[in-house]
Amino acid sequence: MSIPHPEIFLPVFNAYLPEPHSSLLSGIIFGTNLKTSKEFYESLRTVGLLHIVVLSGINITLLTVIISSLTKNLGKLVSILITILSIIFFVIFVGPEAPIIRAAIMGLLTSVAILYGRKYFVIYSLILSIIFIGIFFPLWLTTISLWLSYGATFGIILFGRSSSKWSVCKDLRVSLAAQIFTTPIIFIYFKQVSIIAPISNLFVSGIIAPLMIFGFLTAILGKINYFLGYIPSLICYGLLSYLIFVVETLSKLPFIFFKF
Amino acid sequence: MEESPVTARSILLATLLSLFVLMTIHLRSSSNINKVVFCNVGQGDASYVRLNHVDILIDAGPDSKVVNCLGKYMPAFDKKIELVIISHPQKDHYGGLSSVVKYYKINRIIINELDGKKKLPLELKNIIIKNNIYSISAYYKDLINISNGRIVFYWPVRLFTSADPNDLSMVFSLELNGFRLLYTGDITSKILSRLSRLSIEKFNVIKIPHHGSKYSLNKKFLRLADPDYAVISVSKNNSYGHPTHEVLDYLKAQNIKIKRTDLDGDIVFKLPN
Repeated sequence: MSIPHPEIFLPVFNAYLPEPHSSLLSGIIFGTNLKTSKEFYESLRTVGLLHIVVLSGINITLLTVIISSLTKNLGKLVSILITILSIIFFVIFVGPEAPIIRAAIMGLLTSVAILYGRKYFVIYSLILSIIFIGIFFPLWLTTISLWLSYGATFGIILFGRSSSKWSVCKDLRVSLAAQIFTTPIIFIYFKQVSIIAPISNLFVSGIIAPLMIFGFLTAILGKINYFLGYIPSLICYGLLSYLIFVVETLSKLPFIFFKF
Repeated sequence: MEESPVTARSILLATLLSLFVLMTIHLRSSSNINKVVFCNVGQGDASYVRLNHVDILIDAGPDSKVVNCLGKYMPAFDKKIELVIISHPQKDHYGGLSSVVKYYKINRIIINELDGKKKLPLELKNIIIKNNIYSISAYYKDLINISNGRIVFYWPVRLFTSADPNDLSMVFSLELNGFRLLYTGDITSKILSRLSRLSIEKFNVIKIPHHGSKYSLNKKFLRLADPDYAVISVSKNNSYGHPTHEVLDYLKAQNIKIKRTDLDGDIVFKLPN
């Protein structure tokens, strides 16, 4: 049996959406590369949003949330076992890479922690996941994507908690917290810095999770029947158009991106 | 990790935002506007035409870049291209077609086999067969009416043969309410001399043949066509040295406005309704 690949959903997206919408949606959900639009890829880099097309914590967290809410009537143990299995299946489906393995291990450990009644487990799971990667995939310790993933997660854990009632303030805080460590890593490694990154992240951070949900729906319903996937694809089109508008507008501003 | 990144409220807000964006796109939609776009596809040719709700693609560029151009200028959720014309079967004119068929249904394609020997590249032939595209040829004096617009073919003549595939490039005009545009593919100066014997009337826009190669510069033909705009489809720093200074100097001397995809990006002409 051959392992299915995310590319089986590309024709579904292509049937509803034009470019660069289709590649962007596929990148956000499955981490497939934006090969059809190199220019748009460069614009994402300029505004500091390249991370939205990299599989990471949000994909795993969302998967966990969806599966556990679907299975909550089956009892805690069954629900968590199904969640764990779906995380493993998702990682095999999209292909193992450093950021998604990091997120998957943390997701799995958190699920286990919930099972044993522990509440605050994030920092331990972060440390355990890097020990795991160090033992089983030592070569990844030299990759930039691994350090960006850990940098962002560590920043969010340390500084991302906000007691504000305003979701905009929460979003901004999480976005800035993630960049506390990633900005110096990007600066040292790529010799570049995007000044606009906090603002562009603020504009789009709220729509990424809903976009993933509607994108998932489009992929799965559209695979079954064209008309079933039509409505979610319409909502995706609106959100993607907004995202593309933000990226293209901000990337044209002067003095927002420096390369040394 | 401990807090769900998605709530019913955030989904509702996102849906409202999406509906707002869809409304805005719909209200600002230019689907009723006739237009010609010369797509910035690098070293190659691709042009999108919207004529009274009919979508036409003229050449498909070298690679997948063309689908970004279609995504930008075709109305959203219009997934059908009524007509594709491939000026001649060379990669920089049809290479993007394999990407186009992944996103759009193509009804018909106009393409001429080289020398009438059924010598279409295998890749191109497979795309046409697999996607059930109705394929036809076009020669001098052929004419297609698209509501009040039309496409008129000037070249090649039937049974014409040549060792140089560029000599067989289709030359045709797009005409609508007095606006006239000439597509020239990669046609050579030699053929343009022959065409100069026809009664060539003024064109508003001419696509300069062969990305501005000096071997396609025919001054007599350009004087007859007397264009206001000359479009050159070419990539930055290409290895061929296109467009050549011979072509650029001549166009400047004739006071013809030059539009280049390498400098101007996509080039859009709005057509009279």
